Amino acid sequence: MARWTPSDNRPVGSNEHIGRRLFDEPKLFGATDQNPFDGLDLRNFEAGIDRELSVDRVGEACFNPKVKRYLGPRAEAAATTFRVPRIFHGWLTVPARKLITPRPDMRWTIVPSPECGPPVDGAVAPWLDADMAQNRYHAHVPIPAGMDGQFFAYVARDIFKTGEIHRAVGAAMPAGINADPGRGKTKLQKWAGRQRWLARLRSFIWGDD
Amino acid sequence: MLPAEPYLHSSLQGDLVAEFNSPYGPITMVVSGDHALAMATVQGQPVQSRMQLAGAQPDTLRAELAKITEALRTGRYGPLDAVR
Repeated sequence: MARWTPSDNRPVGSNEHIGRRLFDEPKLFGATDQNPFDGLDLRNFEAGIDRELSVDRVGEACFNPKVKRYLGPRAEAAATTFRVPRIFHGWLTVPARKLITPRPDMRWTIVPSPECGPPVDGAVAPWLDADMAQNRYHAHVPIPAGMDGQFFAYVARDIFKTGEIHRAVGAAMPAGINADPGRGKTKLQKWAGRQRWLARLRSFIWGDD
Repeated sequence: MLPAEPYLHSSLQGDLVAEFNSPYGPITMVVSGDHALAMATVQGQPVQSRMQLAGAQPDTLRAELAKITEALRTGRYGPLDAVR
């Protein structure tokens, strides 16, 4: 069966899965002995100076295995392009709807932006799986006007940390990423989570706050 | 005022980022040249508090920061900017 490929510039469907690549991030110089942080590094969700968060469209309803095989080598190639080469750990994926409506009163857009690489003989290069400069599945999320870039990264991290983990082949996830979000939580955290959920349910049913 | 020892790193733009783990949830602070941003998730809603550092009095900053730590502790975030 052919690999799932969204038509170029086809709008992102709300059930489509969107992945954010995770790379290891350098430690603060002179503070390499700090206690490890039990969470995702904010830098993995920071947009560049273009104020766009790059993501991968990874499948129509889940992470398509064939798409993963296409994207894996590209992500590993991308890891070597940083000023100091990094290790690619894998992806966190969420359904697009979580990014489109991160909160009831927020609306983000996911813009399909396939990367076709440098032109060949002055013309747009044809799509080739072997061309690591290409990415048919690339998309980006522009930071809404007026929103602070750091706050955007914070909200994006909040969304992606509820997502699924897809490890790169042979890679271990950073210490802060737990394969099971429930595992590793203290009893108090689990209890607090249940209480919050119950409070929201109560508020939904009775309309109080 | 802030719980525990932070995990420090720099952002891609070179700002200082301090991540605190507290029993009520994490707090992330980003300190730029002239302002600081405190962010937390209160009852599932991300909230932020922006503080101008230039010329600010320590008491004013402390009061601003207390709003977000208090919001985390009590689960109420009325005065904070939730969605900007």
